[in-house]
Amino acid sequence: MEDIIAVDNLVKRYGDVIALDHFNLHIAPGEVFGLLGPNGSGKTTAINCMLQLLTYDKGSISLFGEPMAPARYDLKRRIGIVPQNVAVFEELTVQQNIDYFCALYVQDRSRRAALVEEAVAFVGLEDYVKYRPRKLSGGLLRRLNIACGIAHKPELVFFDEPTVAVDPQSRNAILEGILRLNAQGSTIVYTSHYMEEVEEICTRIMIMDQGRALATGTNDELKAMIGTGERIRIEVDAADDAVLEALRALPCVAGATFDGAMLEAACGNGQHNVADVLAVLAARGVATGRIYAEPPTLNDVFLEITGKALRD
Amino acid sequence: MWNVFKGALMVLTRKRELFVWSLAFPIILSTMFMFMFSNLDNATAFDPVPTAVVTDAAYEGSAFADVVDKLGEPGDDQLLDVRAFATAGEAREALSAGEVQGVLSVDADGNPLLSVTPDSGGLGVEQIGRTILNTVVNTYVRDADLVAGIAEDNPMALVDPDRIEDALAHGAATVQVSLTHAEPAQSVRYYYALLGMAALFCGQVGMLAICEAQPNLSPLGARRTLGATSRGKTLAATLAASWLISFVCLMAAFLYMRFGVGIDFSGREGLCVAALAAAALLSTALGTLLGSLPKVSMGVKTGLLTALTCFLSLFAGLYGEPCMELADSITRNYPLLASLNPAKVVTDLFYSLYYYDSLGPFAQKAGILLAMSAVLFAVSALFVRRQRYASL
Repeated sequence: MEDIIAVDNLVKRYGDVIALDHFNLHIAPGEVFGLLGPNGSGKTTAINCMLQLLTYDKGSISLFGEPMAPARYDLKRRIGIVPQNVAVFEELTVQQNIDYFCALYVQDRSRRAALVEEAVAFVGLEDYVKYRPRKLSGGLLRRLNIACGIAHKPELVFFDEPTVAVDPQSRNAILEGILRLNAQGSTIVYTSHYMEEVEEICTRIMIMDQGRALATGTNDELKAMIGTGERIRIEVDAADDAVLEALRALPCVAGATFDGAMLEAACGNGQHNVADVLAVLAARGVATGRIYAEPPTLNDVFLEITGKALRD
Repeated sequence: MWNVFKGALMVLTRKRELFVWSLAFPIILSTMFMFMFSNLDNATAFDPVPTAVVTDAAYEGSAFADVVDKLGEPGDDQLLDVRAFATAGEAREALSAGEVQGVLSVDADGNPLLSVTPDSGGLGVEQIGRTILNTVVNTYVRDADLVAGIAEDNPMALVDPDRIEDALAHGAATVQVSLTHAEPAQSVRYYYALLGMAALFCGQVGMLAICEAQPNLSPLGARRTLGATSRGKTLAATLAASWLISFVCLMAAFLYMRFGVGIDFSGREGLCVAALAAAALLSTALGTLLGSLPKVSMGVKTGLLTALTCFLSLFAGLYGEPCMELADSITRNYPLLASLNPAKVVTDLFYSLYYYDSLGPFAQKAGILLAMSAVLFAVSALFVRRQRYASL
């Protein structure tokens, strides 16, 4: 199937700073694609280049199999954008805002009225249609921002950090909405620096840093790329150096620490890590309490690739 | 395009801050002008000349007494405010006290005499009064001599009253020409200058509209640019909405001046509406230029527009008599410079309608305004035509 987005060797410079460094991105129709990276990693710049808001120094961008250009209104008609900053008119009501942005894509009034109504229901703003944005909470405002971007039923939707500064309830509503949109046939490009969100909804993920794509794959594929496996934490009364040395001697254990209450063993990829660790503790006569086994996170992936935590 | 126009109209009409300067300000200032200038036009209006008449025996029954009575009859064309004194002494006392501007009497031969105070020079009301009295007496003497001459040379001619009337008529020698389209009133210029200032303040509408349509100036602009409606259409519809709002604001100010304050627009209200349309176009163009300036915050742009408006209004004569003289002086000595001041051009647009019979000056000013608007739009286009930006 032809890629809905094809970006090749994109280079964008701000003076001496390279914002995108030979950036490549290929997304197939129907995907929920996550662009994950810390602030300033180039996620928004990449989107703005794709949407032709920004000039770029090198590279090619195709959307829907066609070269993208500022005046390709036929392609823009098929795209929705939910920007990072809430961009709505303070002077218009919820309904009027959605109608205004929908009208940039849909001229027919009666069809638009139905689309607006649908968008209002989609984001759950039925009780607020007559409200002006200043009367909405941060979460509701974000929902309005989304409704304005998706009312015209685009085939491809860019969500640029849509959950920044929203309460958990609204965040869940937004994420559920994105998945519903995807189920209805839209391809989603989702940028965030919240790895939990990306893990939760994205079918494929690209980890970005300093304008470069560091790794791309499914959640599992990314975690499989690194040496770090699960992290095992066990409540113990005591663990001396001998115990720790014995754990470190195991082939599956990369490191072991004890903080006075909790023993932690960082393991590599392995099938029997927990059993092997517990066997060592039993052999040394260490009494164990609760046991936690946590699979690696995208932060571990990021940490291993870049040497720094995602939220540094 | 209609949807963008309608949307822009809805958004702009709900920005209350815009209407403080564009609508409320000219109306409030008009009201203030109404009280400030209430005596200004009365000062230049003609009042009958206070005149003392010595009603002694020589005066009573003289032909000159009939003339004075006629000129002193109340009505629109009353020339003299006649005050009778029994003696010449009393009349002169009144003259010395400044109660009257001249003393009329008749000598024993029936000849009129005029006494006035020494000429203090200038063009004051007293000087005009003295001139009027002098003209009255001279005209009477000349006409009396003429009739006496006819009686001596051709007594039969006196039988035909029409011939006497023809002989005394001054119409053939004096032609009344109106130099202005309307009776000049000093205060109207301030109201016209106020319309000029209001037109510049209306630039805020276009300025704000363009800021919200440009991707490099606001997130809202960026979002609108990503829509499937062409950029040219979006900008055209937005500017059309800005123009309409500016026009309505100026129209409201104009209607208030015309019907609320009672300012004379010399019966050319239709053309005034055309002038307002041109002024609104200029304000939209000015706002577009300021609004499209890159890397300048909205606050700074608003400050720039306010400063520019106040500064240019100074040279349109808005701030009082000295400023009006300064504006006139610049117009006389540096007409090109005056033509570059949009506030002055808008002011003159209305004044040319008021003052001149011909529509030539109005057309000229309107042409300057339209050309100025075209230049401002053209320069703005250099900033707004870009579709992609190096940075946002």
